Amino acid sequence: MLFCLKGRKMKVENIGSKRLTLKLIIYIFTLSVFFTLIQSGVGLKKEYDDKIKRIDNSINIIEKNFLNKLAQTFWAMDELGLKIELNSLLGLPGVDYVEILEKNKTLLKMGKKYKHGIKNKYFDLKYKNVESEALLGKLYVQLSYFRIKKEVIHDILYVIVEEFIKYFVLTLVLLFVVQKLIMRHLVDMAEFVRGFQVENLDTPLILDKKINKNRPDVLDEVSLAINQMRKKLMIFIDQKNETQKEIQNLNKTLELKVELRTQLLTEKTDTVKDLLNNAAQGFLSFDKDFLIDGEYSVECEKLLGKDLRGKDISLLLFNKNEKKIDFFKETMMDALNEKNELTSSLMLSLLPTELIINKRAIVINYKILSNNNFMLILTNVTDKKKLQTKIKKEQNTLKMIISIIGDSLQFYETNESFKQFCKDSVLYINPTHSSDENANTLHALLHTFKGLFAQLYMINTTKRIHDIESKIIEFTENNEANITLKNLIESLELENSMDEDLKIIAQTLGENFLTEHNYIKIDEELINKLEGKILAFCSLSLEQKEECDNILYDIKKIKNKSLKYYLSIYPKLSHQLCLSLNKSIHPFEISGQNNIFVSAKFKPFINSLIHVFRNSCDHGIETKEVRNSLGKNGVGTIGCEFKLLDDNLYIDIYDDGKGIELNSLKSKIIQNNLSTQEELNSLSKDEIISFIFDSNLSTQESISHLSGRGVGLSCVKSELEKLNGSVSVETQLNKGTKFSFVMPFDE
Amino acid sequence: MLSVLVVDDSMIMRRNIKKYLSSLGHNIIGEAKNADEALEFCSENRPDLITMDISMPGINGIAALKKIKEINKDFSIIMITSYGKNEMIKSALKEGAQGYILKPVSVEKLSESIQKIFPEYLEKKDRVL
Repeated sequence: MLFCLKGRKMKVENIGSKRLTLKLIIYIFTLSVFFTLIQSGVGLKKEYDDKIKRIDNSINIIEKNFLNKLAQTFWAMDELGLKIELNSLLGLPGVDYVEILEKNKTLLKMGKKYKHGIKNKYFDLKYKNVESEALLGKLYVQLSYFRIKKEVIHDILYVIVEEFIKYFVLTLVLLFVVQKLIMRHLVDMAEFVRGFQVENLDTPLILDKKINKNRPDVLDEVSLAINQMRKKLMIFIDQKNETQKEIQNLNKTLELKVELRTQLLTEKTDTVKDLLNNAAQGFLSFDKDFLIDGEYSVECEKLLGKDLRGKDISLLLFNKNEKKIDFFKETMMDALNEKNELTSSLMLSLLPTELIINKRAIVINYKILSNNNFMLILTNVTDKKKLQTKIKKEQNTLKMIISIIGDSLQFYETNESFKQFCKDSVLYINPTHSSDENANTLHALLHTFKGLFAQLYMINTTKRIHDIESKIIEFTENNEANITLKNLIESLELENSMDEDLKIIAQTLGENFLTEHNYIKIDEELINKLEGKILAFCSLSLEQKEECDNILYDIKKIKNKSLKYYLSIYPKLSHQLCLSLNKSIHPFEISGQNNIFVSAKFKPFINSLIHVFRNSCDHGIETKEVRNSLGKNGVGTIGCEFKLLDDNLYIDIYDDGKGIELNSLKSKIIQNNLSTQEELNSLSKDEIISFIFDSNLSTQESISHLSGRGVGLSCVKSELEKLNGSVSVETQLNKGTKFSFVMPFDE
Repeated sequence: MLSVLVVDDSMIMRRNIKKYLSSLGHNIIGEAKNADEALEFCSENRPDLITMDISMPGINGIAALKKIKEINKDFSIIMITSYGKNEMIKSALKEGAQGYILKPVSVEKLSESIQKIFPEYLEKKDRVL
């Protein structure tokens, strides 16, 4: 650093100071020469004038001092004396040549005679005494100015040289002084300032001189000022550095924050992505070109295929159905361009919400994003649909079973007539009628059957017949011959229409149920008449009473069925019900005597018991999870017992389910305005429970498909009352419920 | 409570819709069996809401909608339509219909549509409750 500074110093000196020195020399020298010239000029002029005066004075001196003496000496003819006198004359300033003339003849001469620059002076040499005066001769004096001029010029040169040397030396001294006192310091300062750098700001400017602090000179002040400036700069730089540091720190903090935020955001995005990918829903977006964006959730690929980026969504959704594609695109764009949010959402609601794509049922939600892109949310509802279909099927089955049990006669009769119709179907084709007329007849008959089956909720049969109807209608449009109609009818295999439903019935109620109907078909009135006749006959011949009783028993068997038989459908039904509710119960059988026959008047009541079983399955038995959590066996129990005692028939139906919640029942009673809190408080538990038979009460929060609106138990009660029977309910929370029916029974 | 004009060519439909609207607490201030009657009514009255069948003999629902909107574009109109008429519904929406209901009409559907158009009505009702 030092070296560097020195090097620079040298350089600066070389250039800057030289230039300044040169200027100084020129100024000082010019000035000194000017002054020298004036001074020496003036001096020389004075000297010259002096010398001229002295020469002039020499004439006066000659006139005053020498003329008389010379005249006397001349008078005395003293040659030696004259020579001495003349010699002394030559000693006078300016006198170069003297001559004594006697009548224009040179008598005596001394000195050197010049031709130029001279002044000639003639003096009369007169001898004087008291009385006379005599002219002896003349004195010729040559005064030479030439010598004076020469002297003056010599003087001038001398003076010039002297003055020049004097001023030159003075200049040098001055230069040295200036250099010593000012220049080098200035150069130092210049160098120092020039070398100002952030790194060496702490190096103060120190001049090569002592600083008098009490009486500082200009340089001191300048150097002090520079140092002050330096200090200020240092402080400023320090502050700046501080600020910079602060800013850097802030920046760092900010960077950290940004990083953290970015991380959080990334995490969030990842989480959202994760969520979306695991949502079992497809999320995708696309722009006005209907081309799918790169970002979509995993589920989309499952539903719509791989590599969806850039694919046309409308083609994926609607395959190649141009009409649907057009409507989709138009409506999307209309909704996008619609400013009114409500109208826009209504337009989107016109788009299909459920589509079958790749054999999957997909529910679609349409959204317009804030960036004017579209978003679709795809939900795979295939399983749900399947389950719904299954439940629907299950429901339909149960509806069918219940209606068939409730009106088995209708079932048997419809079944029988339809079978007959199937057998005879071809016979309805009357060759004398047109094929159209025949087809219409068949259609009308089929339509009637369809209605009958629909009443029995035999959905599959109804559907089959509906399809057959359509085919017959189609036939009438083609104007074909009767024989074609016959072929058609035969090909339709009408007799198979019921197969599916019959299979379900057989599975649920047992094969017997389908074959038993033969007994029922016997006209009951006829049997009654027969029975009357036998009774009348038996009363006539007492000896054949035993025989008669046997016949009567058989007739009763034909007319009345065993109670066990009637009730036997319920175990299977209960099992089925529980299955459809995702619950399970132990298989059970009706326990009771086989030989108790009930007349037709018991049928409505027995049929109504389905509501009790249904109630047990639906509200009584809990799901496996609930049962396990209560420490109960996961599989529930439902049972049914009956017995005959003292002309009374007892039927008990029980379950080990959750029992009837009294408080919930009470609030339900109040909610349905069946009673008030005060009234209920005064009632016994049994009395409160008896409200479950009220047709205006439903204890279940949601109306389940099985128990409907809770009119079931009221139906049981009303049927029971027709038989003059009564019911009691025992229930214990989480232990179970038992319905005990008792009614008079007259064999 | 909204004042409603019911426009439908079917008497049964009108009766049903009136019944439903009444059960929702609205006031039926008029009914019309065709577009002309509806227009006449609208030029003299200001119902809060109009329900209108999209297909009627003579001037159909969309044309009627346009004309009613010409009288006053602030009329709120719900179109009643049968299934499969998406194009018609869309043009009705473009013409300024504020809702549509697919037949069969039900109290729930009516209530939902009305709540969409008059959300403040719903709030008010909530407050009262």
